[in-house]
Amino acid sequence: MMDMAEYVALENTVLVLAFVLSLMFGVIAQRTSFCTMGAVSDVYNMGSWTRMRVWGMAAGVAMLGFGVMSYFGWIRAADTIYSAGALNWLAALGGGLLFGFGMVLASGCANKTLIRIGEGNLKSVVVFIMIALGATSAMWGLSSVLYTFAVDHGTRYTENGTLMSAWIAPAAGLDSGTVGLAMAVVIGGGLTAWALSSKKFRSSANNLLAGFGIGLLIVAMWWVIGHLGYVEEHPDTLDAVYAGTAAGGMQSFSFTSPIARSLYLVTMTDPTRPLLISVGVLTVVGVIIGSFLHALYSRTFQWEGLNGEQDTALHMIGGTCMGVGGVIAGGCTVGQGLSGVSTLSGESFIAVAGIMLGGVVGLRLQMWLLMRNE
Amino acid sequence: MNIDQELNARGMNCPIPLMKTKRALEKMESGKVLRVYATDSGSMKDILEFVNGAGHTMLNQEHVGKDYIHTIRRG
Repeated sequence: MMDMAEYVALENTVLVLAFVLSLMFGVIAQRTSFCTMGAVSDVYNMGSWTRMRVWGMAAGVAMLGFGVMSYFGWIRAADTIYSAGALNWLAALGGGLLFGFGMVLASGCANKTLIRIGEGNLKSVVVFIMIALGATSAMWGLSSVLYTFAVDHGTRYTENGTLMSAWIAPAAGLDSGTVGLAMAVVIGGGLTAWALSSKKFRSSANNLLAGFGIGLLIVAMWWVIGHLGYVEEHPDTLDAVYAGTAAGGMQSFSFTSPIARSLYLVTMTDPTRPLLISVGVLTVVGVIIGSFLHALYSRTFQWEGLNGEQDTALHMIGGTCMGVGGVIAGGCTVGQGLSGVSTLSGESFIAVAGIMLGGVVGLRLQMWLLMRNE
Repeated sequence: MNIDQELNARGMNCPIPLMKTKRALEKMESGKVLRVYATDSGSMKDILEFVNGAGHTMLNQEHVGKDYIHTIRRG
């Protein structure tokens, strides 16, 4: 069994690696303008699927990587925070709708907010604070009643959890690892092939970098936390834990709850006690710094502030919706969207559908506001 | 170059500059020239893709100070 000194050393290694991966995430996302809201907007406003293909490829690569690692037993698919005993479909759908609606009003999702902060956008600092407040309220405050309501009225208890591979495995007479790999090859490989089938998509190095790069970073984070950080017996509690995570569960990149935890860390930490730094908090800091460094390098760093009352109100509402919706849905465009989808969690697919639909509603509202202001 | 209409999208982030550009072009006659001023760096890619896909012509794109300036001929 591992002693406490060894556990702390492992935790530090996990945290350092998670930070490095987050820096890379920030650099790639800033360089390539990786943006889920932009992908929905492009489809809605001009019928262009190029950015959606980037997103699809990132999800596909992440699925393939997760499927392979699960199949070989390097990580435990059933231990992820996206795997549960009950399918909270209403929370995933409703939270996703709210998140998607908010991301349009706030000029981008939680991940894009961090990228924009790194680029010098002060609007995004406001959005960051509102996401943190909304998420805190949904996790520990008044808005948590929404989650409770959704769970009470829209939960399906399943014998085999939320992973689609575990649903199909008994009927197929195979183990869930084999089914997971097969599904990852079909769905993940299909998404990747769909992205690469477009000549326009392939002609841009940035599209390929974003699709492969973000997808691989999701996989790398699964490996760091799920394989390297797995501890069979914590020296104090004797429980199986994933070192460096806030709640002890296996996770990859996710941003809504970590944004709340980051603000909580700054505002509520007792300075006489050791800092409770987790992977989530470091991903937030890492992505901002990565974006900042690349914005300086590419000379795209530019201070930008709010643009009047309506702009301020929309960004505040958008940030709040993302914070509340992200927590209720169980994650954001990257958390449920890429990390969750890579595990083949049925709940993640429902959340993504909600986010996309909410995005379209948000875009319709934006167009209505534009026409009203003309 | 004769500019028929100017559009100020400064201080607005994606997708607003694109939506405003699209809306402005819809109201213009074919052959007229629209100049868009934006401060969102993403507008360089977004608006170019929209213009090319919608059959308009991007006459020029430049970054001057804080402004990303797009000059578009209505198709």
